[in-house]
Amino acid sequence: MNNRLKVLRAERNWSQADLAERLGISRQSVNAIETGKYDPSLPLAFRLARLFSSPIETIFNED
Amino acid sequence: MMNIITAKASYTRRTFGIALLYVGAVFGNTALYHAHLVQPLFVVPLALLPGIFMACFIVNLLVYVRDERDEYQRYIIVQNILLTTLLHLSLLSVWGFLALDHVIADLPAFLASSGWFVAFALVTVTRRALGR
Repeated sequence: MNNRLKVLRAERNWSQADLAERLGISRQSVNAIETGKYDPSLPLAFRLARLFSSPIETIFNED
Repeated sequence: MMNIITAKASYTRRTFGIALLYVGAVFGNTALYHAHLVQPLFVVPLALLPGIFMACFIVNLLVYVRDERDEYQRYIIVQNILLTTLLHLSLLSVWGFLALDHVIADLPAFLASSGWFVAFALVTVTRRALGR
């Protein structure tokens, strides 16, 4: 699964640590999601969508 | 973020406590055995002691997985547990058959359980160092 997390984060000038803190997860987790090593659960995907005020399908899309 | 730190810190703290009790029980048991000081009545209770602490290790791990709020970290812990079990059981199988043929030495069975935790620590540290 591809995602636009890095772009959305860069638009807000947030570091991985900033995003991790806002989501209440570790920086390693943000990195794993961004690099496609790990696909987040639905609840975490919804939290990301809420944080970026974007629908899930605009953040994540299938390969 | 606070919860993540707390779950990991609590797990580490509990692990050190249980490890101390476990090592004490193993060394105490073996010292008493070699000194022929164990009365027949106390053989079973003394043998149960390290087993109880070993169960505490597993419960501690379960509590960590339950309390860890970060789902990716939970995923990594479960992966580490499976990888450790894979390595440990495979190695034990090979060791068992080689020992049966007297190619290598027999080991006391109780070392197998502590070996799992040593392997778990090694797998965790190695994967962290490799960034996986």
